[in-house]
Amino acid sequence: MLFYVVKKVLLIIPTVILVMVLAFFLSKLTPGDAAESLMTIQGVLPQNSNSTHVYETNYKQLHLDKPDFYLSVQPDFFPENINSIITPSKRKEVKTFLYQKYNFEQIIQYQKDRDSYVKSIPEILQDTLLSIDVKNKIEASRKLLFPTSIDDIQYIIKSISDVPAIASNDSFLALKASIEELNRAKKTSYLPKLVWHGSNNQFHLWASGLFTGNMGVSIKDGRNVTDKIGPAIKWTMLLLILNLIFTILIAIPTGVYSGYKKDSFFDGFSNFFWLMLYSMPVFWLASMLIIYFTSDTYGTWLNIFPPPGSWVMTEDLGLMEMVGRFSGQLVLPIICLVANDIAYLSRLTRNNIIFQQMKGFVTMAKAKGLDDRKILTRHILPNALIPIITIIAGSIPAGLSGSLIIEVIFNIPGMGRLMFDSIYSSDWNVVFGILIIISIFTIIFLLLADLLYGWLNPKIKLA
Amino acid sequence: MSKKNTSMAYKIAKYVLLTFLLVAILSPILVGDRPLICKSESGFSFPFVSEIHLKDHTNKTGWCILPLIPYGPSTMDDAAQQGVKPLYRPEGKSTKFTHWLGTDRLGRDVLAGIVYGTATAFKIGFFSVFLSFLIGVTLGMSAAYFGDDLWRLNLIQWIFGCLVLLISIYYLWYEYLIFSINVFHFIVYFLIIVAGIFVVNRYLFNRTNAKRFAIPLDTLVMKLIEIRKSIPGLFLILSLIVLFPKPSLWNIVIVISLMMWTDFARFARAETLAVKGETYIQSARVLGYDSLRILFIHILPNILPTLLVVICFNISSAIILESSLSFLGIGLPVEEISWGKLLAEGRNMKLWWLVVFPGFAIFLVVLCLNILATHFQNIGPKNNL
Repeated sequence: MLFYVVKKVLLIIPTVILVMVLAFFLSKLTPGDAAESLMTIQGVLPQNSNSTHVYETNYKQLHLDKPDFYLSVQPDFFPENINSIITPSKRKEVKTFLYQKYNFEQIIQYQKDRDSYVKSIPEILQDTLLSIDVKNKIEASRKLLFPTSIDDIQYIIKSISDVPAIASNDSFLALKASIEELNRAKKTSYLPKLVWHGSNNQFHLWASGLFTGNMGVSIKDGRNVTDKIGPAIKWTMLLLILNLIFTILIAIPTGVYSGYKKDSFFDGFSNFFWLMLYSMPVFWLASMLIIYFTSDTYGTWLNIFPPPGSWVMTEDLGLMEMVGRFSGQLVLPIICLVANDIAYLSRLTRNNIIFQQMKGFVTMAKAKGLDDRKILTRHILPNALIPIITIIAGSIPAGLSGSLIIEVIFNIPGMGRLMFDSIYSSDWNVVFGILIIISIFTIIFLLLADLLYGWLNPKIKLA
Repeated sequence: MSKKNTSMAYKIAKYVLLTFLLVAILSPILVGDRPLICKSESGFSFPFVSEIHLKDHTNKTGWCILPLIPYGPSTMDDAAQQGVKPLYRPEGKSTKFTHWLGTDRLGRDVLAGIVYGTATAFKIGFFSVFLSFLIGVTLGMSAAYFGDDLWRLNLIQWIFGCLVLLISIYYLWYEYLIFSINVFHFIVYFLIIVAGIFVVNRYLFNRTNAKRFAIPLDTLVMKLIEIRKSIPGLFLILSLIVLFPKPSLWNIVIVISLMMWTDFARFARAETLAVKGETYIQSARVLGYDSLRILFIHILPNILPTLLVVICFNISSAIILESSLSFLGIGLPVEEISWGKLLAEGRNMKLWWLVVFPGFAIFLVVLCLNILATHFQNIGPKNNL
């Protein structure tokens, strides 16, 4: 048994790692610049004088200057770590040129020459002999700072190269030389280059942060992601637990009864009723309940429940206290959650009971003269409920998806609501933090279901 | 339910679904603010396919046939602003212009929206199930058929396959995804290369006497399913859908099929495992038939009845997922009309007819699909649960 448990636990490790890698790279694909967003909530506008400094600090603090992963496989003309270019416009420019297959060193050289040329423009313009027309042309060459393509650059350079004051300028000559060099060094073929970055990379820091509870800061309000997720987990747990209790309390007895009285009126009716409930989209049910039962619009006697939306907790409460405090508001969300889950569990129980009734030991018990009630409670139920228990354990994580919509509709500040809000405000740290926490939670519950099955069902141990 | 009742429910469900399907297909003809056919001095014209406005036709002498619902899904009726109740008839107009199911805040007809939403729902349901069926059944069937030790390659085949695969993924990745963002080319060339590896391995490097090493296909597929299963569905969909630069119906199809293929894979695997031992498969193998032929001609038709159950369930869950997403306001572009969007508007505006009717449409379609699935489950060859 111990060997079985250890083997199962070890087997989830690669899954956890792969899910973490997946979540990390998905988070890397999201649009936006976290350092810039953080700057905005710090109250520093891009036009402020200290914005460059603040951006740099944020960029380094968020570890964005480190390589993405332990290992990178890239074309040989790429730099080892492109993230180390801090200025966002320069980084973007380097990327655009790299993606057009220009060599990294020449790009850097070009940027340097271009900057020194643009710096010397005022100096050139001091020459009083220049006509307005030429001055405008030279002024327009500042556009080099925001290039759209390499052709644009060459066009601008060509347009001013016949001005004598420019043609003899050292910085312009250097720029002209470097752009020619850049063009000459354009790659047509390339080989893969393997770069090993070691453990000083973003994934490593993110993953180790997960285990130490440091998942970075939310770019929406600057709070720690862990502090935001913590209370949210509590609400989701509350919903899941209440949902589970009510589902079991309703589904198992009805399932057992309709399985025991197979093909009776009750069986047919409950089957059809559960199927109807199961087919009801949870958001439809929730919307209708809210519209009809939380306001006076359709008669005062229908205004039974408080409207969704006031879930403020002034102090830190335990789960039981939360239930007591918010019991009125929790009724509708729980009804919606239970309605959707009941059908599945009830049907499964019913089918299991029917399946067990056909077994030989039931016939034997009947032949022995045992009365029906005892056969049901002593022989059929234990056998039928074992798989049900494991299925319940395995289905808890699946309830998370259902609770997401319910949380959004009823404004419950749980994980689903937080995820939804964070997606709307592009708060990727929180989004993928929640994704990974929920995945690990799911993996653990699936493992528990697996172990429970092995523990309750002796046949598995032999295998 | 007794056998008689289920078959009765099945028949009703079948016809209801067919009606919905018909409505979805005929939606451009059933609904619209432009006449279908107009007769004027110059002859017949078909305004509903051209961009000419209604007024140009009605002014002329002659006659016009309007669609059944003379409002488009985004026609804003000035006489029915701020959301009118069902059965509202604008003053001075005939019964044909009644808003049978009311209008929304902008004066758009709800029935027209529901008819167009049917088309959207069925499009998403069918295409996402089609895609996930392709992925899931291929993976599941081959995982079960080859297991961990049946698909054996000799050393040369292994080295050649891995090398070509790695190198081609590298170059395709950079050439088509990084240097010129083109996912379609990437997929096409990748499939061509995989096919090429198969052919070369099979006809060039196939030495019968060499020592062979198996591909642990079953383990790989099971691990893939496990990874997918360890991320709750809606959370995965939400975090994938934000990655697309602009919203479109196909994004939803892709994301939903990336989520749903595991159901097909699991069922296809289980069914193939059951069928694999049958004598007709054994004899096909003994006769020296090709694995591909056995998989797709002998096994697939035999597991299809069971997969039919999964198809029905998955179409219904795809429709529910799509409307959940539109309800949450994620995924579909603004111009696309869907049941979930109507419902979301009704909830925000507290208009009951915008909640009840679109929701009932979803409910009806999903219920019918579930009845169909239950029916297939009951008449299925193996009625073990």
